[in-house]
Amino acid sequence: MNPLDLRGVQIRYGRGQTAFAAVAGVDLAVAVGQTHGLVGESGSGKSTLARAVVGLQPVTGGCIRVSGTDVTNARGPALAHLRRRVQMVFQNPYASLNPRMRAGDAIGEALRIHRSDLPAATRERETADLLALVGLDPASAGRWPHQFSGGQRQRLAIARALATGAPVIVLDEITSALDVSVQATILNLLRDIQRQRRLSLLFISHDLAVVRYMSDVVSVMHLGRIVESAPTDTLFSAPLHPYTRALLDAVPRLGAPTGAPLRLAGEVPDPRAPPSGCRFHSRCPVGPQVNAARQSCISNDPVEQLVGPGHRIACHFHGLAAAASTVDGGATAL
Amino acid sequence: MSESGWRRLTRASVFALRRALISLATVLVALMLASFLLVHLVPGDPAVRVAGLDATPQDIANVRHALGLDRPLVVQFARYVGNVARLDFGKSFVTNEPVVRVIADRLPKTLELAATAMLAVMMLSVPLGMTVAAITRDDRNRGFELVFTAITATMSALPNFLSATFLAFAFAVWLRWLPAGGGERWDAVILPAAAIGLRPMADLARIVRVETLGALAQDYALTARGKRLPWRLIYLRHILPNVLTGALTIGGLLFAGLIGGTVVVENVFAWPGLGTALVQAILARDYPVVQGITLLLGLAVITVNTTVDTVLVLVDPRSLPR
Amino acid sequence: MTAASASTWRQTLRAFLRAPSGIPAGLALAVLLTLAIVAPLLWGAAANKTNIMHSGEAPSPAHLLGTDRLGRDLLTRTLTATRLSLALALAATAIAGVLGVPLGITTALAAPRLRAAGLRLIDVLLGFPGILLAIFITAMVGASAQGAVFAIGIAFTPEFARLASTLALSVGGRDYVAAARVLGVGPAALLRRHVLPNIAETLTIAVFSTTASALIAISSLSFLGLGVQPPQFDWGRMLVEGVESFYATPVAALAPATMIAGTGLALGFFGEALARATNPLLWSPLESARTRFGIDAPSVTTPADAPEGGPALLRVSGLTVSFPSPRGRIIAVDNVNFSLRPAEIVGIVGESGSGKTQTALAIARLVAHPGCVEARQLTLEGRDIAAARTVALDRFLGRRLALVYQDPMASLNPALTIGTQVAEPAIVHQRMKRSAALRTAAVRMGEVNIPQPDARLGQFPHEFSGGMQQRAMIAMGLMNEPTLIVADEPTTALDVTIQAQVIDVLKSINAQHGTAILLISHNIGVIAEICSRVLVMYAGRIVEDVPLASLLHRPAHPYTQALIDAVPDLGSDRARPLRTIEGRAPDLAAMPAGCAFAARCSQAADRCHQQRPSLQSIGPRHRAACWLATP
Repeated sequence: MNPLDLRGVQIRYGRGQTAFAAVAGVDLAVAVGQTHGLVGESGSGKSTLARAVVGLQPVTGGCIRVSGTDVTNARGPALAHLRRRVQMVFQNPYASLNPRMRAGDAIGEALRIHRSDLPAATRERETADLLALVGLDPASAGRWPHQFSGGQRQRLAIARALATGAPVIVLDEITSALDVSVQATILNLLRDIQRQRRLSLLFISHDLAVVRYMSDVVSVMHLGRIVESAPTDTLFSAPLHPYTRALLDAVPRLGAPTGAPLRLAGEVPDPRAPPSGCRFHSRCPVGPQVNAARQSCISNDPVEQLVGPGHRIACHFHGLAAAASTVDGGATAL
Repeated sequence: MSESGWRRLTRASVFALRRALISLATVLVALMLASFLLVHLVPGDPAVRVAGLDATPQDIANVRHALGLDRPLVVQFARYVGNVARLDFGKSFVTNEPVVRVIADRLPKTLELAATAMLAVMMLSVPLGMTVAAITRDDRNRGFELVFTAITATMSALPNFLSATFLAFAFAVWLRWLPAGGGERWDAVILPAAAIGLRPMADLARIVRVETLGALAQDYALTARGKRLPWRLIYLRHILPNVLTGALTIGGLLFAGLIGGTVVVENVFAWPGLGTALVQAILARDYPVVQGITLLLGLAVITVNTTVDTVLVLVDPRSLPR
Repeated sequence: MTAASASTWRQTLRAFLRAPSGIPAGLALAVLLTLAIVAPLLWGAAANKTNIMHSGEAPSPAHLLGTDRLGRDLLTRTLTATRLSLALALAATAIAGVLGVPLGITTALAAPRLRAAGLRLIDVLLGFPGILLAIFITAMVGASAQGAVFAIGIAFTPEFARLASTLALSVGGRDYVAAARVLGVGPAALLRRHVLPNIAETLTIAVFSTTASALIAISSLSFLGLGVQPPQFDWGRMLVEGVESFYATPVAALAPATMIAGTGLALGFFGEALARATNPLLWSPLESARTRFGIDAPSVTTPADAPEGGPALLRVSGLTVSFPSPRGRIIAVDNVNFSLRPAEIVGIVGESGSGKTQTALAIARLVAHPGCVEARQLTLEGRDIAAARTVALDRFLGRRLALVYQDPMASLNPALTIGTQVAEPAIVHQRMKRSAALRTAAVRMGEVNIPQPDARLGQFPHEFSGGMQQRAMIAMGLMNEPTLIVADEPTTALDVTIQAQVIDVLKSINAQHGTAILLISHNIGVIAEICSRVLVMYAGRIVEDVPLASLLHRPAHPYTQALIDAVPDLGSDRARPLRTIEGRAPDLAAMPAGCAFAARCSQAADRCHQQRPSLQSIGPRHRAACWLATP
């Protein structure tokens, strides 16, 4: 029984002709003490999925389970269960803290709701402890959000999520608004706290290197679907889906690049009108645009299959792609 | 994706027209209902008023029947709508003249006044606001900005009947340059138009300045400067279209306010328009006239707002749903 | 309430007092309020005492403002009328607020379809002139003071409803409201603790401006005879009476007129000052007492490195950009020296506040007022581009220097077609015909891999995707075949696969046209992908100028090394914590005497804290500003 379990989650926006699925059937599980990384470009639906997990976004299909309890579009006791067990840290620390609420009150509010048995004095001590835990001066409880720097605000947001005692935390692009040196301290802090408290994290980012560094398992999302999911080392050393491989090749790196990189042509399709069949076929470097024999990509939606321990992929031709890459030593053959 | 400018315009027109017609119809019904209810909500029995104070109960009953006042409200409303559609607004309680005649007599004068004022406002405040923005950009010339703010703030804090009085005193009584009354002279419109226009002009100039400063702070203004364009191209080609969208939105609201101002200012200058007629009718409790004029003014306001809405959709390439 | 809350109030008060109009407006309102309370008690009787013998008198010692037609003293009447005038305006505002705010908030919280309909209705009502609506209502309820208050109250309701709904919608969409919902904060507490505190002040400010408008509107109604009826009198009523004898005794009209306008102004300015005061963003977050003027660091400069193989394309020497601030001069760029050879691709890397963007803007002469740019030498192709602005210099820069910015959507003008914008540089600076320029524009757009460029000339920026927009910006820059492109974070707003495409485009332009590129980025990986040399900036200074190969294997400055180690890459050891840089960058208005990085540097010695290191050559084309770096 996983702390967080998503089955066939679908999220549709709009109605009538303009309706579209921002998330089109996603399976995902986060195990105890595990960090599950979710990576994707804009329009992939990863942030929509994050908001759905914490109940901010209605789900139109599938189900979300938290420690075995169904919390899909939860109300009443199920919602309380969700709130108690799943918390979230948002991307922009300048927007996610109420400017009219002091640091201590923001944490105190969470304590009051989720640990209402605490007497006031203990609550204050607990607030101070949480501030210290995230590397903030406990004396700063009386300060306003605007008196903190971006990195400090993000620490505060983490402390607020921890205050609830929730074992699962969803982190949506939490470092993308921060400077790189600040990012490092936040990532280190998060890893330390996770180990101490055995937290389960759903870590969402567009930055592959950051996701790799943080996660035990990584899922790659593309236009509302997870196209590949594998233990981190497997995914980054032997990616099978052409989209994953193209993403990895697009990451700028310090070292000298090996061979000609695999480049995707064209634009990310409009998520409101995704391509038919495999949603990646219009940009796929090994798909029907390149290889006329692969017409099935246009008509058939690939089913996710297990190809190795914990390694799932949704591609009609992943076996061939893998073979090609091992033979020709990289993307050059594609 | 590739779509010619012409097709886009057609699509925009259809979209804008549909939107305009829906809101026009909704508001029209609401307006008619309000002006219909006016007669029924006012204290006193309209039948008594029409029949006269010395009428017998039988007379009143006859009048009530003749006016259809004994029918259910829904039927009366339907009849009212029918009458309005035939431009029959009833007869004045006071002069017994058809209301449509009163309106026809007075409408041209009000239109003349409102149009002159609106034209002056648009012609003056857009260049004024942009010029001041250019002078005070990036917090330059704080002193000048303070003077501009003080003057425009004072102008918009002055009720227009006050500026009307001041203007009349200064230009008609003291300097004797312009006539103070609504006579037949061509320049008689200047003072009342100025009295109506001062406030919206100050407001619009302030808004245009803020919009211009906003546009100048955008990255596309930096792009234009980076291209080393001459200043007239930067302001006229790159800034103006972006400012106009905002100015037009506000302009519609200001024109609506301007119609309200007309009612007040006409009374100061004894301008023989709808405003003077309206106030006289209210004081005389001449409800059919009140009903007719408010309906017409309301219609004018709605027409302007809808037109502005439509124009906005046509000029702003982003307003179309994709 | 704690000490911290008291300090908030002190800050609010301080900010309020700093607003230039706050004090006079506040004083005026205090006087008016006092008058409203005491004037009728003191002078109420005198104000109503008629004396036909003294009717319509001019000002005199007995009657400082003269008398009206019935011989009543105008001064005491004007002062006494304060109470009724203000009371009516406040009552009307109260009605509008009490009806409008709940209406607006309810609309904002309603289900989507209902909300859309409600907002549209409020908009329509708002488009209806208030005074007309008020006159209409007065016609129903009859001409009286109460009627006028009711009419104006109703007429102003849509304004409050609109404001409240806009505010509630905007605050309701903020992340902190979402965060509170995730915490499990209930709807009532959500409204009370998270929504209302954040919209209350804007609403309070609106109360002031609405009261001013209500005062004017009620006066207008009174003026038309539809408001206050005799023997009661407010300023509007006095004005009617004054206007009747305007030409004989203008004071009778001017006195109440001045009061109306003055009160309106005081309310308006007070509201505005309050708006400034309650905006915490305007309070300075760092209250450093230290202020310094001028740069007192010694002018330790070495000449810009002598470029090998021909003259430098761009030569920057002693470039300093500073901004005045209440805390002293903020030195955003501090004595920067470097040069670019033709066709070279050089990167500037640094974190926020490092001065990399201001350096680019200074080279392009686009530093915003009141920034101050000084340079010993700033030349492009040997021509002084720091000289006074002339048409010739503009043309030179327009042709030789192109710029690409971070946010392509914002950098393109939303109101103009792509074709117009891309073709413009050639039309302006090469005097090319529009049709020819559009043809060239299509060619350039093809060069940056925009498919079907001819068809896309007529499109607007919003019809382009982000990557396409950035390519259009680059195509625009290529129109005059510049020798240098300055690109400030050109890929930061783009997805990683699109970023790779844009980098490829920049590379191929460099290869085909020999255009030099100065690429500014916070992403050291992007820099490494394309640049042959990197300038590392920290706190406004160049701390290292290093060829790419040395950057990867032997960076000389501890900051450069720390920056590389802090960023995880696809080869990072996942078992080990990331290297972090303790502390914060120094305050640009109060820089330390020595090395700017010394306070955060693990290797810093005494000398580092006391003496500023200059950018010294430590190897072939390798310079570093560090006492520890040796050749």
